[in-house]
Amino acid sequence: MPIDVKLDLMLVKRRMSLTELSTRVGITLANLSILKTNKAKAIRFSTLEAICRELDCQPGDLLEYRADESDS
Amino acid sequence: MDGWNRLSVTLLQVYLVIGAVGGAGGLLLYALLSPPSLPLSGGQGAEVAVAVDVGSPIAQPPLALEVDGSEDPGRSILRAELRRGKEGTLRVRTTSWGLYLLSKVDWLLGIPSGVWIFWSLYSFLRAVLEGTPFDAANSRRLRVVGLLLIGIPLVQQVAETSLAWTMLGPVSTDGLSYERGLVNLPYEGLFTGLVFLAFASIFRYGARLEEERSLTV
Repeated sequence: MPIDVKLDLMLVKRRMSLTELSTRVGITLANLSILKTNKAKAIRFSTLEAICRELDCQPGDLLEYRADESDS
Repeated sequence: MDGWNRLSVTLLQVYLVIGAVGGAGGLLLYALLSPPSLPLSGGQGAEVAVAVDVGSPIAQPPLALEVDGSEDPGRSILRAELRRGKEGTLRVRTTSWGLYLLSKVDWLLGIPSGVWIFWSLYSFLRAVLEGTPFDAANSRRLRVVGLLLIGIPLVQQVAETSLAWTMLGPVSTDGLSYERGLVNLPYEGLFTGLVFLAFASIFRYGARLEEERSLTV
């Protein structure tokens, strides 16, 4: 997947667990795990907004585009 | 909608327990023990030759039957009387295991596939009741049902026609018409099977949409 989700890095920086983030943003732990392990196919803006609010970061801090090796 | 689904599931449960299990077992026993039957149709009286392994023919109305003595001990000559436009059944006993099994192909395939189709529909409705109608398993169930509805009648028709052509043959056809075995394409099964295959495609697409939805955070 060309879009890499760096949620785990942000959680370490903010010293927050996935469970705590799940409680704060109101999203199930299962869904956050899907996001964290790069298995998600799409993310809602409302979800992105809630995570950025709780982690005090920008969307670019969470999402990174990496070109596939076939594109380079 | 839930009420209709529950009613459908309940009716299928009753059918499976009483019909498919009890009734299918009884029907299978009856079918295996009964002599092979050959459908006949067409016109006036016709003489037909019966193969060496075939004997003791039994005609069911409106087919009337006479057996003539034959100089050739290996052949029996039957005279079958059937009015134009009528259809009758000729039941014969045979000592040939090949012919006997060929005559039972319709039952041997039909009953297990019928039970499988009902079980698939039951599982399909259960998944709908549980709130997961669009998944790969349901798409696969519909596809299997469609293929069975198309394939089984075709195989049965081939077996029936092969049996009739093997066991019976016309001796004289001057001015008379006689059809050995019917070649009727199972149009109802083909159409219904195609409908199920179309629905299987729709549910496969729905399963893909459902997967994308479930992976949207």
